[in-house]
Amino acid sequence: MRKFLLRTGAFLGFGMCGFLALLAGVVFLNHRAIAGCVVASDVRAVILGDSHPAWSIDDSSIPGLRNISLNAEGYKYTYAKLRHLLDTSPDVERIYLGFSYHNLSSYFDEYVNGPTFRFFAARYLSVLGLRDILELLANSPETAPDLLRGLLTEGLSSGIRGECRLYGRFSEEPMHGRFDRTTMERRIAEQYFDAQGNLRGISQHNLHYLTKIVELARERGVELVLVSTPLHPEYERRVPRRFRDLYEEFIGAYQLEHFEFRGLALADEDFLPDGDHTNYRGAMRATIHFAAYHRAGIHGGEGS
Amino acid sequence: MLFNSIEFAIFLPIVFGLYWLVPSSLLTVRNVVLLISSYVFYAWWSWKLLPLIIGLSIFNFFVATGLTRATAPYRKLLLTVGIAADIGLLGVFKYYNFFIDNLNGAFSLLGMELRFRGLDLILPVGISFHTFQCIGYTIDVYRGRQEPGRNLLQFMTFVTFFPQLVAGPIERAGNLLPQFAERKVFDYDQAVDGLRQMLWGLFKKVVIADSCATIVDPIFDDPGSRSASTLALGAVLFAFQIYGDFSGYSDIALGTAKLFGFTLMRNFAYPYFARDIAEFWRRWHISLTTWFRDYLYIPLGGSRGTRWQTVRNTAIVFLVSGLWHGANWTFIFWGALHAAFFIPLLLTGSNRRHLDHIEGWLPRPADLLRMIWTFVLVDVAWIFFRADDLGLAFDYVRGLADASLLTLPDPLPSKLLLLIGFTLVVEWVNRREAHGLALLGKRPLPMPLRWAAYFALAVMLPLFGGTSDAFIYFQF
Repeated sequence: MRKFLLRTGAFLGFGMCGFLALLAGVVFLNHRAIAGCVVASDVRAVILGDSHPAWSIDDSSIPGLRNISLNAEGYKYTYAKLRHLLDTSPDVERIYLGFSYHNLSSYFDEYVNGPTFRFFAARYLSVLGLRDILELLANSPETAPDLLRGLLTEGLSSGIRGECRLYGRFSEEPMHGRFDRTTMERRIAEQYFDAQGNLRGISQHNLHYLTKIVELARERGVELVLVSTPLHPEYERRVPRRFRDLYEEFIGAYQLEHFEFRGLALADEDFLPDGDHTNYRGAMRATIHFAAYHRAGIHGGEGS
Repeated sequence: MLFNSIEFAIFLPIVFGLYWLVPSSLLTVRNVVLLISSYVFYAWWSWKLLPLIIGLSIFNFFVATGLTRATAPYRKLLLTVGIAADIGLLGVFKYYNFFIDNLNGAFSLLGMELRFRGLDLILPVGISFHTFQCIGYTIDVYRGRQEPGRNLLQFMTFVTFFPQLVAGPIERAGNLLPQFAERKVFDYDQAVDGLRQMLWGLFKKVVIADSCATIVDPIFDDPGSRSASTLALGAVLFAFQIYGDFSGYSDIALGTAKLFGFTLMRNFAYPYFARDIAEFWRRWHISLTTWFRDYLYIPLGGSRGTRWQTVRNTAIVFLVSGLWHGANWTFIFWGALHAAFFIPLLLTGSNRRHLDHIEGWLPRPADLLRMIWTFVLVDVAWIFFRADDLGLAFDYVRGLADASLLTLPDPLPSKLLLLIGFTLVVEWVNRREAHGLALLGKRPLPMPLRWAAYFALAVMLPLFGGTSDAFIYFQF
């Protein structure tokens, strides 16, 4: 028994050390690869956020603007991204940050450090430390194998190639589909209600890092504009009061500039089935509207 | 609790430590450790169903005890009551709704709109496995081949022993029950071989089965929009998915049992190297095949009657075997297909032609062709096993007969196909051994090389594994 325990212990110990060394190597390579995350020198404004801005605003036709949003991105990672951006691109003067009701719901916490984050963790390896990774593993041990697999396979590949995956872009694959009431209702139920049908709480992670983003922008003297990309009117009506109030409250409390695409009338054909995102057609229309606002500058536009 | 879960990775060392900390002289305490651990293992799914399995154990223990005391006319009655109760339990949980649906369908066809209501029941995990284990025990006691258990604790541990509780092997009392009465001494070689077998089982489950599932599921969910070559790929990958899943589970079960000094019966012997369907059934799910042979085929008369009776008995066994897998016509048809493949061998007297192992490094071309043909037959049957209903299965098969069979499948999972190739090579090299890594223990390489091989396999689990999922056979 003693021999068995010693050998098994040694095997597992070697394995664990080797594994940690591999993980540390992957983290190291990805931290080095962050140097590849740069915006062109003529870029003066950058769009950050989750799938909402990522799928709604095509930056390719707007000079001096770069959309680096990534779908399912929590503000914790947006904050890290913004820090890096401001450190490396001092000419950036304005930040557009995607901000909508769903960002305030606790359902988003799953995307920050819950089980769902395992699908997206690898692209944040350049800003995650070993401690963050261990914290993620402790938070959702049941998804640890998937998380580790993602970190090792995708992380090793991006690390070796020196590819920084922190910066996203406007969806390359055109998103098609049409508003569908049933899908929208499922989306509302998922985002704002738990499995028992109770109203969800507030995402403390997102709220905390949203505040930090506001403070960071002010500290660095960068203009911050909150952008609420178009929502289907039926979706918007179904958003519970708690989140609408908090949304207004936050903007009011920090006296933030925000842009809501008012005056842009989109049809069912412009939305994805969930009513929460524009499809490619809607994105093209939203982009024209946004470009006018961007060009006019905050004071000449329709910001509120 | 799944074998491929973090919970099991914590559970197993705790039970291992507790078990071996108890001195071998305190046999009862050791069995209590195993029994409680097995109940915890089972309760992880549903503690509400625990009384069911406890009740099943106690009931069968007393039926078997009664069989030794009852006089001749009552013995048969008691046996009938015992088996009927076990099968009744299985029937209520597993087949009642299937029966009611078909009854309603039949009345509807006759123009009568009678609506019998089904039951809203959860299917207890692994019920078919432990029910069959209990039935086998009761019949063995009745036949006088097995001494009835005198120790209820040992019997309850035999029924619920956690490594084989939810998906077999379906153990025989003659093999497993006496092992709970042994004062086991830790055997280093057996334990190390157990770990090796567990590693190989995990590899097959996580790397092969789970990866295949990610490709197979979308193909079977929407076969109408796929090319024939993609459908063929889906069918081939499902063959490896179910093999990796079930033989992987069995390897982990056997390996886990070895850690505690127990030897479970072999359940798989490299079935895809079989050269005909008869050989396939000697290599696939051996514990179920031999169960049906001993407790259904032989009581029906086996091969002792006329040729027609032998054919009838064989067909019954395959049909019941199909039904055992699930309450769906797809499983029954799957059994019927295997009967159709098997009976010609029986009629020509060639069903016991391939009892030997293939010698040499490589198979002869004729043997290789036989293996491929057998695989094709088995794979066609797997389509019916996997499809949601018979109509979809036939559509799937029809979809294969298309010129697009000659195009490249979409997707073409080259990495996965390489991993399947690697698995086949490893198992071919070990084909005379009990499991895929057995040779590593028998012809010891230097320790660094062996450890490198184990590490390589362990690293492949997270690197190449699919999304973790439950074992397919748990539903049976």
